[in-house]
Amino acid sequence: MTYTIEFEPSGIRLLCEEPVTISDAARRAGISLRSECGGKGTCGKCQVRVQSNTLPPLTETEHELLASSQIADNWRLACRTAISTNASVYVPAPSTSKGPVIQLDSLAISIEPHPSVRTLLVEVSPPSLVDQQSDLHRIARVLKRSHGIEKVWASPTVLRTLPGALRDGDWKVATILRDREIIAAYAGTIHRPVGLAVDVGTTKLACYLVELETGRVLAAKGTMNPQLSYGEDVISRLKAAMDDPASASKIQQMTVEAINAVSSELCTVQGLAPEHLLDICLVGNTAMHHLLLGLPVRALAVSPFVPTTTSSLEFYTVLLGLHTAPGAYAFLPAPIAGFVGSDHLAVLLAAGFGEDNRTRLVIDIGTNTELALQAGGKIVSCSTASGPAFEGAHISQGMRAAPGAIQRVNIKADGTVRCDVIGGGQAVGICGSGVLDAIAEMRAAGILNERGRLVRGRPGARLQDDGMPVFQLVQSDKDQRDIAITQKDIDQVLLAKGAIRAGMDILMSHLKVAAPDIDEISLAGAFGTYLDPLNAVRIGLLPQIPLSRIRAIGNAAGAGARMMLASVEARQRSERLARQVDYLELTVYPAFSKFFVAGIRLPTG
Amino acid sequence: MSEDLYKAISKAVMEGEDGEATRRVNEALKAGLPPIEVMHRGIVAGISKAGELWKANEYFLPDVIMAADAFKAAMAIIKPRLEEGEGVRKSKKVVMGVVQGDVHDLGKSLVIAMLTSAGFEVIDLGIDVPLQKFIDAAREHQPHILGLGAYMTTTMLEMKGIIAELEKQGLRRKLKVMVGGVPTSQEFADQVGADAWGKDALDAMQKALRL
Repeated sequence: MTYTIEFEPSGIRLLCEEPVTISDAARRAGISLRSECGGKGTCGKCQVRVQSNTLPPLTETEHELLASSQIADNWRLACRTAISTNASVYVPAPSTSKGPVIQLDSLAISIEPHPSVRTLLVEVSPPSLVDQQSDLHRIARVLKRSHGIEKVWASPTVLRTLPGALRDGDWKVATILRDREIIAAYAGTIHRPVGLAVDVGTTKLACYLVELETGRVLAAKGTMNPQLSYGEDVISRLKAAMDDPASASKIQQMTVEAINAVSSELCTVQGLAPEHLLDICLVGNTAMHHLLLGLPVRALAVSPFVPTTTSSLEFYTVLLGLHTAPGAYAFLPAPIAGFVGSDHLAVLLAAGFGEDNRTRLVIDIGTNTELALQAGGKIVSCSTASGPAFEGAHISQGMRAAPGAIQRVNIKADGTVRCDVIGGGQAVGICGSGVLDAIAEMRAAGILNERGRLVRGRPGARLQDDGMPVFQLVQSDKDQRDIAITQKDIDQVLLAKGAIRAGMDILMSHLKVAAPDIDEISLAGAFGTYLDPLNAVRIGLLPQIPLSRIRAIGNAAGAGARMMLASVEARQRSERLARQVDYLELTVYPAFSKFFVAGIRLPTG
Repeated sequence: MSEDLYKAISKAVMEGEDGEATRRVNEALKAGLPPIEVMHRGIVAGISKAGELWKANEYFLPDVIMAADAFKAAMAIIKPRLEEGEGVRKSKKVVMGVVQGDVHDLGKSLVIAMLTSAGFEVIDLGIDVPLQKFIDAAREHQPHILGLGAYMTTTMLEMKGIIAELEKQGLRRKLKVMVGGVPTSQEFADQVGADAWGKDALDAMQKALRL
């Protein structure tokens, strides 16, 4: 049953089909709600005022965190409140967040946990002159007698901590076992088993602190990938690493340091320390994977683009300098091929690939866009260099999705342009979803022709002094600057669109799938969440299919990483999936330029 | 009647209709029209018009790509039909290729189309071209210009090596080197010792005429 959520003061309306929490709805609508607890309901920052006929009763958390006067006035916590009928939601400025929106949450994946580690509390008899057995032996004896686990062992890193743990804990230790290996021993108490899932993106790192026994996210935080200093695109970074071992080393180091910094923060928030991290799963595209591991990248960087390995890896975190429990392992799932990496595998896992026979398409739009199509028992993947136009880069007044960015554009019948700005204040620039809307609306209004050219003489379309055709979005005012979209900006987006659509059409052609055959299109990544699916279809970024078949799945790579972290079974499933995926190298695909050209054009009507 | 055929070919090329272009070229040849005329008045005329439209910001990349595609298809039919040395009309030769390790060919197709429209005879070495092949081609064809293309920051470095080898082989002074491709720049061209840098196919054409 469809219903509408109207957000104020931005006026953004969201059409929904399923019940949704207000915070998820806000995200889809491009409204950045504050969330310091990652949606757990502990920070109380996402306060909104809701009017709706049917609302679920207040949760305990809301009773705790909201004043009675607020409750009387219809205030709720967005992350605790689900809507299922028409509603009006007022988002006050203090409830919006600052800075680029680093997307962390994703569809609620039900993870059936199969942790790779278990915690066993061990109490040993203290040594004496008549019992001089080693510390390890003491523990091994108890594990054998009480738990039937034989032949346990520990690496030197862990052994170093053993004597201290035993004596500090008064001969009681919580041992963490991975099969027969003791990967940590803590004095006395058992800590809640936690692990870290990391999505090492080209632009952003997303870290999730996960409760291993349930798969639940306890805290999440994102940060810009420090490698950006070596270049925005992957090739530049590979080049730096190829040319200079010192750079390769620095790149590896800075990435590890960034992960350590974020994970430390996440642990602190939960009253834990990095040494309590028992397991870690890292995903990323193949370049990120190789740079993180310090693998040689020359063969990967130039044709025929060959990675060092396409197998999954499991090794001591100590090898990379990641701060975790002393003997903890890092799991890096299999990269698929060329530049399509384990992050894509994670996306496939999270999007349900391999689970049934539905014809599914998943698109992870970013600087590199990865696509996968499942049909008739086959899965094909490809990657295109779409460029950062959809993230606001290379657009003259483009910016990332942050307060001040125009995120929605609507052109009325009378030609007036209405823009919605993130945060509700003055427009400072325009972000990817805004540019997409603008182009769709301009095309519908006849301001752009089929070739994406601005039609001279249309209201709002004019020539700049330098001869560049532009279309006015926002008129300058005392505090407001002119915001316009230029022909060059439009060209940048059309090229990006062309690349993505070409990838899609090639996959569909390869498996002989037509648009109506597709059961579901999943859009992963931040842009996938913010874009308006209707406008995406209107400009030809997505094929003509019923909108109900299109869904945003947020940071699916992060979700997939969490799945693999919390479940050994998911890791095995990912191995099978990796072997099933057929990767198409687009640069040598015949007739690529024909698909590209067709993809650039704007649909008629 | 022949005029109509030339116009039809030109229009098909300009509009990027490769099926139509090849059909018309075959029709023209069957009608006995001289291949050299078909090439200049039909095919080259069409791609020139596309270039002009591009320059006037009326044509955009996909339009030019399609026109270049049609141009390539039409030329594939005409070239074998030209007499040895004919059609060249004392035009200047350009040897072009995308450097080793790089397989992007869209840009190269556009440059070849534009250069041909400007009256150059272009010898296309293809993509992923090893250094030695460039040297051998320079020696064999003695071109006026050697055009090098690269579309990745990792492969463009090949160009330095190619130019150095030309020097070593005593061939450098005998030709002009132009470089191009998305990651390249004027600064890069200066660094590697090239004579010119083509910002895009249109720019490459204009600079080639002045080299």
